[in-house]
Amino acid sequence: MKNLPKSAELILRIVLPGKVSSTAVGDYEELYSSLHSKNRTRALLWLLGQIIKSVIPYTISNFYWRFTMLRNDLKIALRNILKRKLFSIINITGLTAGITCCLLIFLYIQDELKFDRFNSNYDILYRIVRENIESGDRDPRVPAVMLPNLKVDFPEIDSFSIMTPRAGTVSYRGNIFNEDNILLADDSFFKIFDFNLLNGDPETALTGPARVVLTESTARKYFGDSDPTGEIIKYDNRIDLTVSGILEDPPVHSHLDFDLLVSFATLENINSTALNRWTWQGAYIYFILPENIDTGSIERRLDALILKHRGDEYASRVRHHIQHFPDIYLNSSDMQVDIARHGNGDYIFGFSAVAIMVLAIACFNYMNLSTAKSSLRAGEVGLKKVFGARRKNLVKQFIFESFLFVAVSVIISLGVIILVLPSFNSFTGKMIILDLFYNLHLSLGIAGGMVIVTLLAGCYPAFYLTKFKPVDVLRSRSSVTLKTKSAGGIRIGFRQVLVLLQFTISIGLITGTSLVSRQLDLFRNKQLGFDKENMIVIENPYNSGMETRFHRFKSEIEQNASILGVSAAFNIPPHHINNWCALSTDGDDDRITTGLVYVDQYFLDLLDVDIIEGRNFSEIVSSDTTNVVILNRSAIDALNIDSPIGKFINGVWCFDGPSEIIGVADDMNYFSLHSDVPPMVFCVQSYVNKNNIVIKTDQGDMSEILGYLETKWKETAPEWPFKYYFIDQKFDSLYQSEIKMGKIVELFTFLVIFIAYLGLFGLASFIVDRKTKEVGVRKVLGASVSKLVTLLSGEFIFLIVISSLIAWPVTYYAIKLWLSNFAFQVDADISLFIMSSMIALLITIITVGYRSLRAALSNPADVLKHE
Amino acid sequence: MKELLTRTDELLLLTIYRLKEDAYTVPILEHLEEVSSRKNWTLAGIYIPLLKLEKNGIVESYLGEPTSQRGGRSKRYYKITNKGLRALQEVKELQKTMWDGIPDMIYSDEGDL
Repeated sequence: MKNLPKSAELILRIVLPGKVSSTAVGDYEELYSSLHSKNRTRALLWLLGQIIKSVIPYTISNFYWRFTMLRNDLKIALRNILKRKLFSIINITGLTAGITCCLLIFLYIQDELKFDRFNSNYDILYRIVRENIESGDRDPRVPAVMLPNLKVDFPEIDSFSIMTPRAGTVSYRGNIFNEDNILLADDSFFKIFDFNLLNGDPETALTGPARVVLTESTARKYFGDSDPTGEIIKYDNRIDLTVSGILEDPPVHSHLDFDLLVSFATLENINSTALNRWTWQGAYIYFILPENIDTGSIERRLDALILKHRGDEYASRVRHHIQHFPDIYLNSSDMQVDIARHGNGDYIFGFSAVAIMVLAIACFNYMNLSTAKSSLRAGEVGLKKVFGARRKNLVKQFIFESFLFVAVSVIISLGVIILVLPSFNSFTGKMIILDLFYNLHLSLGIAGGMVIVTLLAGCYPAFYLTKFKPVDVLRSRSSVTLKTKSAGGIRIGFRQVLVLLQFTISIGLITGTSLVSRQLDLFRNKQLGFDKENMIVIENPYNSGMETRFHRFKSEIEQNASILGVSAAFNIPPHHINNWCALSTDGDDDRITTGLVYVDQYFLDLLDVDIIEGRNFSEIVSSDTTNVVILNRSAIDALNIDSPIGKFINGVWCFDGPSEIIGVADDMNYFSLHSDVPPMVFCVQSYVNKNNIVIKTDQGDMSEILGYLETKWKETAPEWPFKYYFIDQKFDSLYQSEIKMGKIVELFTFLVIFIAYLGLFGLASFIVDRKTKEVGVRKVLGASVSKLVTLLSGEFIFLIVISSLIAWPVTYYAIKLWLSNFAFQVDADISLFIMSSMIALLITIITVGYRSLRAALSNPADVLKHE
Repeated sequence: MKELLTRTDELLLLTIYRLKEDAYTVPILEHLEEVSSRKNWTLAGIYIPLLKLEKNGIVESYLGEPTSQRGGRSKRYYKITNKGLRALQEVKELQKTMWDGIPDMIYSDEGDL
């Protein structure tokens, strides 16, 4: 028994007469399967022949006769398009813009959804995520020591894979490379994920310590064309790694992106305690979950595991979740630290909505303009009706006309997309191509979209225009208007509702754009609580020599007059705080989670952080290197200490004993303004490696200073690369996503306003044209120009007022939602809304006023003399 | 009877008549291919005249039970109505009259056409 191919069945169902189609498909299937059992090729050829033979007569009988009428409709439609150029240009421009936006968003979403699909375990993969109960922050990093425990406690899960990212240097034969994208992974990595190992044994390539699998491009970078298997490369100048395989570069659509895969056991050589300390939380654990297992119970058992090993104190603060593989890319944008690349799910929704709005506005234009010029088509409709056309035929004709507009716009859109796709790709960082033949969903989407847009835009005009009674139309050619409800005052008809909607969307978007730009200004100009200008950070690699290297480098460069100060610290802003501890005051059990930053004595001074109470660390007081701390204002508030100086605090997981508070620093924004300033504690414990060198320079020639620093660095530490960044630049880069969003919103706003007001201009033109004589008569009777302009544009101004009232609350709600992403927000005050409405009003007055004024200024003699 | 049956109609009806209870489209097609020794019949080419004949009341159709062999779709069986039988008879008599006394067009003797 062999079924018919689905496509064949579909075609047959279409071409065969409705009454017999179901049984007929059965007949085909019966014959096909009996032929198929003898010879597959013959069966397929037979089927193809049968289909062709039945499609030809179907096509002829269906289309030939219809085509004759179609040709007539086409001719009339084309004449209309060419005759009313303003109308056609406005519509085609609008529809093209709307369709282009929608298609681009479609391509973008399609590309986002493609992520990770190359993995055959896409549906059954999960990873562990822990959630801070208090703040709701999610973090996918867990202790590495969890893995052996999981293997014992969760026998029903068969495959776990653990990994952790690293950055460092790799050297081979004297060449040093900076590698920011190193992934340490264990030997089940290739079992769980479908990365393509070109050379090497997937079972053993990552087994045991000191083994490395290179991606193709990395291998080429190090070794050229020669085979690197078995070669030895040096990681961070201290660990020898043996190349055990070559991997195809990770696919573009993979949330895991890496250049080198190092065996996980190597972690022991890098950080000797990381593998068995519960407080080292830096590993990511992925696993395959059999399909019918209750995820909730797994999560509860994970909580229990942590409770068992870390005790109440910690376990009461966190909750564990398991995150489904597809969600890692699509639904993790809240996770601030992650090896996975993230999509931007929240924005996609908003942008799709706006793209659809652009298209809707274009459709409204079409409806408005088609019905406004109804009088011009009335004669044709009337005459056709007299000659026996039924309303159904006429509706078909007008819908066909709309379809022509949509089709032309789609073709232009595709051209536009081909042109803008390269810049779109560089803007979004994607590699989307437009391929109508292989991208079936796109082609179907376009076809479906065309039908929907045609119906949306075309239905109302089609029914409106075919309403005319032939008698009314033909009796007097000059009075062809449909009966309107009332002549005086402002009536709210369907057309007015459409204009109202266009205004509402325009005002909403103007408000949104100005708010986004205000918020971006806030990001740029907000006082962060420290000095971020002219600060260079150089990375001092971890190893036993790092401290002497720092002091040597420091004493060298301090002799340069352009260098105003040098300091070292563990986390430099903008950086997520890596160390957290639970602090409590002496004799109090209440603990607060506090960020812990190791600095040297000069750090707070160098960054110009205000010490609001007590004193700063001092290089003279030798006890400052142990067990004294400076808290920030938030920490003092959270701990609720009066006169903190001289009081002692206890820390869990950080200090050896009670530590004395010697000072209070003002709050500084260590990371982006998305989040509030957490409670923080600074201390100078000398044994802790401070791997960042902060250098404050004067405002001299930056490239010269950088050159100087690089030379000095090469002299001091020739085996380590010179890696630096500017603090202010790095802060700006934290807002990339918002800046991009701002640009897109600006573009959309521009498009919406452009299209909406283009339509408004067309509409005003038609209305003014129709009222030329009225204006002439009024003018003869003594009406002033300003009265006339008000008469012609008053309706639109009234509509602006109404739409403001609708737009304001809706926009306010959306704005509040967006602002809730940030701890530091600009005010969304009433002036913002009023300003937006004023802008909309101004553009309206320019658009409509121009036409009205021209009509009002015309000489009545010119317009009336033909009567 | 206003119009005479066409040749295709006639062939179809005779096939249905011969097939009796088993007259649905697949055997009809196979029979036609067999007797006419031509392979260019299509199923679609059978449905269309059958639909017309059914509309004119020459044949009637009924659905059989769905079978799994055809993907759960049922067969449509055809049966000649009394009107159809009369029409066939008419054609047959007409044929007889028309052919009476006319010899075979092609002789089996070699080369003597």
